[in-house]
Amino acid sequence: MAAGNVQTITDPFGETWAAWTDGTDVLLQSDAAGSSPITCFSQPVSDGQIAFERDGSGRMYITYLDAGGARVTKYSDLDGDAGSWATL
Amino acid sequence: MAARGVANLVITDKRSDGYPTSQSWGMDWVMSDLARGANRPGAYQNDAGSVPEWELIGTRAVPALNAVILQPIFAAGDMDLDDWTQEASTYFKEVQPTGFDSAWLKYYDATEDQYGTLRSNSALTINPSWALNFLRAQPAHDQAEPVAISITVGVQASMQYQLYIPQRWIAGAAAPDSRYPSLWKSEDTGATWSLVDECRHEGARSWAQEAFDRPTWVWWLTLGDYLVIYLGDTCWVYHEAGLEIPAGMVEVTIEGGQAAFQMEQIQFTPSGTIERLVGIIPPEYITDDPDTIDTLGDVDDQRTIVATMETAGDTIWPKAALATSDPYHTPVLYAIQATREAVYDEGDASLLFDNVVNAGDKGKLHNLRWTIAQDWRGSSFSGKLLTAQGYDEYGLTGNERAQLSISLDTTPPVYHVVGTGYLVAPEYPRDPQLPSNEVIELQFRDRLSRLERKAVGDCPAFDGWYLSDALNWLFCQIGGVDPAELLLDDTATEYQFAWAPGSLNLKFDAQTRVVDAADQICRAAGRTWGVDQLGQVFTATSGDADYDGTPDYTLDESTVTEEDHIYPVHTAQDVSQARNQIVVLGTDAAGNEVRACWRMTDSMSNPTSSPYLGDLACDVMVCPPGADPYLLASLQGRRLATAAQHLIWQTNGKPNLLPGMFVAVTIGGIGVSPGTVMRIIESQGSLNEQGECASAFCAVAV
Repeated sequence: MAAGNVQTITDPFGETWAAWTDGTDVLLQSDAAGSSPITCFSQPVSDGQIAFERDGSGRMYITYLDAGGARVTKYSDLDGDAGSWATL
Repeated sequence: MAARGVANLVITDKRSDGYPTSQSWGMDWVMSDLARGANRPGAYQNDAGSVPEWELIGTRAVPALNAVILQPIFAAGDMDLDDWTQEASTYFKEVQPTGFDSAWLKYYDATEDQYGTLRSNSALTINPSWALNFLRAQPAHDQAEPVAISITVGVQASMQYQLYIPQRWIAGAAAPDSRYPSLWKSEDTGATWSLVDECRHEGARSWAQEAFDRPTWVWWLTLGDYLVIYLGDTCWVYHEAGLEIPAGMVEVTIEGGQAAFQMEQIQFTPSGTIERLVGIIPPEYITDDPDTIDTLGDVDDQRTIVATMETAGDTIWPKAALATSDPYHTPVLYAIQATREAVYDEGDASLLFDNVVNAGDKGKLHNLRWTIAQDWRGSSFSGKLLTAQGYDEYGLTGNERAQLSISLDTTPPVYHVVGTGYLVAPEYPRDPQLPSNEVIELQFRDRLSRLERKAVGDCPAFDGWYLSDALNWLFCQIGGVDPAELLLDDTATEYQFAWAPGSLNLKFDAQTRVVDAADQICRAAGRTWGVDQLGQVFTATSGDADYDGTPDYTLDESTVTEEDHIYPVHTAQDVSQARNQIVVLGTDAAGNEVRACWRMTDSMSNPTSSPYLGDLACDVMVCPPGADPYLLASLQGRRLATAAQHLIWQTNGKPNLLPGMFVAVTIGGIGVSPGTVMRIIESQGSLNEQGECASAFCAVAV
């Protein structure tokens, strides 16, 4: 069971995505059959709070507060594939 | 001294040519009638293509092509990524879009400048038809170009076609107009591509701005020489003569964002029918149903169309059965044509009069005149017949067939036929110098006198027919000309009229005269037609025959007697026939539409030119398929510009000289340069009561 708030969103292609943090990493999982959680990137805060969004192009955005309390947004063009997240 | 001549006039029964006991009949049904049918690709699961006047079972109308095909089947099953090989990217996966119960393949890289390609592991058949549904994500807010999808068929073959939605971008070229789908072709295994068509017709959506977040249906139907491409609500037809798409893999490339698709080669239901729901009651002048029912369509050994005429009581209607043993290809039906040939009675060629046979006792001819017209139309002959027994002796009332032959008074006589025609209207004038009413004035006109009285009626369209068959139908089936008296030029059996799906350009209204229809048919085929002195209908290509170097007659000092009267005339007589500009509408070897133009500008401005018209006199012609429009313009121009110098020449009897023959002029002092060769374009003759035979000719320099 994931820790923290679970954010869900359905993309234009019918996939429903869930994003959450387990206190260490930000994870993402599709509802497609056989899908496993994807570890997107390490989450340096401990409160488990993230915001998950997508735009019409399919790009994914995850926003969180870093250790200094600054708001950070990372995005991925690759449906959350690990290692593809860049800071906006 | 005038030459003396003798005549032979033979008159036979009105029924000499036979008469129809059952007349010809032809009807056409063009599949453009079905254009009102619902034909959205999304309606493929039923036979909703039926329209009130037709019933379609297992078949579907293709209104954009004016055609009917077998019902396409698109199963829309699960896509399996294992059936494809990822090229240039690994970012494809299987998804199930909302509202669909089957798996699609999604390209999930949303990066603007990236793309991914899937190549099928199995090949499509030759000339494939396929369906593809795709769903595009919107462009990112900072992205200029929309997501594009392209489908390439015939991959790894030398000839490949590619549908690009929207426009393809060519490296190094100006930014593409991304609004429209485009069709590309490569003839070198994909090394270079050229744009062959765009979907820009009215109503085409802007593919840069629409069709996001909802699926778009694409149907690609390869039907003969046509590609019929449905893009959502838009239909687009591409034509290429000899179109052939090789069997090969298919590639789907998604570029500039996320998109998903499902794709499958279309199959066709094995058989289906189209049947007319509106019947026809045939006219009374045919004795049976049409005996031939044919189709215009695209068929082969595996793809067949069999048309039949259904009957219920007095009513008939057409039905066509389409079938294929090749599930990936369908026959294509464009038109149904039903015909029935006329049945002619042999007639009655009983002799009514022969002045040689009857000479001395019953009949005597005098004041004979004959004219053979310049265009071999409307030739005529006339004379007076003295009868010993009175008006009723020969029972002549009009429309009897006759032939007039003339011989110089030699032993034995050598007769030359100068006219074959039909009695127009015998007149019985009262001659006060004769003891009783024994003079009949006879006028005969050539076969036009009969043809001009015939309308084509229910005549089949001649699109796709050979010229010889079309003229046979007009002149023999309807016109009553004995096929043995129809002399077609050597290539008339090889000339085939083109046809375009859904349109019949050679379909005549029922009230059209046979003569007018024949004119139109011949003009379309670059021919002329006429009726010769023997009564035969003939066709000729490109006007007059060329001079072969041997004249039929030489006008020299020894032939010019005191009876000869020669009047040269320059231009004035016949400017009506002259042209100084010919435009031929056609297609060049590269397939470009051209307006081939032949001009003689001097003719408009230079009084010393020949012919000098001082005006624009122009004709526009349509080039027959396969002909060279430039060559045709040049030939026709030179022919029509030669009506410059005429010679009118009266002489004693020369009944053997006819229009089309060549006269070499070697004498001087008559206004025609010695050495000029002239073509006789019209001839006249007479034989008076004293037996004096004279001729007059009009000739034109060649």
